Amino acid sequence: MLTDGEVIELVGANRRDLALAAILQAYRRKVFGLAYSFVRNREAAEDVAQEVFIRVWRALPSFDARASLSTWIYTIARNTSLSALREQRREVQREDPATVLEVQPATDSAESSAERVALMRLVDALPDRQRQVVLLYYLQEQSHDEVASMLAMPVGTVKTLLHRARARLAAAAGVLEK
Amino acid sequence: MTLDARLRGLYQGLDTSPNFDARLMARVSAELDASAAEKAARARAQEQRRYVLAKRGQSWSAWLRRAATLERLGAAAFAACVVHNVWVGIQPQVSPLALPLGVTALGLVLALAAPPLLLRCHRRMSRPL
Repeated sequence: MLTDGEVIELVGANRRDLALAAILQAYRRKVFGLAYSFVRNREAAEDVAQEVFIRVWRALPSFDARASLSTWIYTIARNTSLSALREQRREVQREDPATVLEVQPATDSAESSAERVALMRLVDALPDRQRQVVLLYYLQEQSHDEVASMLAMPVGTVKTLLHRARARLAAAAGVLEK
Repeated sequence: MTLDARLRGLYQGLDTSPNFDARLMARVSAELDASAAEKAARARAQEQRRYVLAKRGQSWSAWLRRAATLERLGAAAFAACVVHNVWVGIQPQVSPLALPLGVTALGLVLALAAPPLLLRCHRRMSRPL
């Protein structure tokens, strides 16, 4: 993963393509997850992620490392997601969580597909901010700090939201947290 | 199985489609092409303007270079001396008539020269760069 300084150097050396490739490798799934947490539709989230990286690519020459690269990218991702959400609110239907699971192979055969769908629906029914935190936290086993940076929230808020979401899910699913 | 493990498993496969990177790079490449074409068009227009300006400047300088030969300069100096001497000789006789005649001649010259000059100006202004 490139440091912010290395990205600036690459852009300065007219190698924006290399900088974008490195950024893409490091942030593709995070940006996609962030977009998905807003628009709640896989295709729309993918379009948003594409738009985010195009915007990043266009704006790379003006990136001056006043904020960290990740903060900068997440800000672009949040703004693009919110714009997409506003524009497409009437057109794009929220995806049934079950259809998301169709393309995801079950990683543990101990849990049945029905149980996974049920859990997904429970997550989907959480309040928006709790749902976003849960999704981003478990998407890539991210840290509280990273989720806070992605959602521009204080770390304490992320912890609180995650705690409440877990409690709610545990109660609803009848699963005891360790 | 703990709730944490179940949630972790839930989102493990959530990712972009396999052709995501290729689609993005194609878009970037298309943007680059569009940007290059735009730059080329701008450069062509700029070069055209520069060429027209240079041609105008060059036509005046070329005309001056062609006209200002040593023989012509000598002939012009000689003609100026002759006119000056003749004028000094006839000035007392024609002086009272000079002003009205001069104004009339100038008016005639302007009246004859104005239409073709205006037409030429109009053509030059309406020609696209």
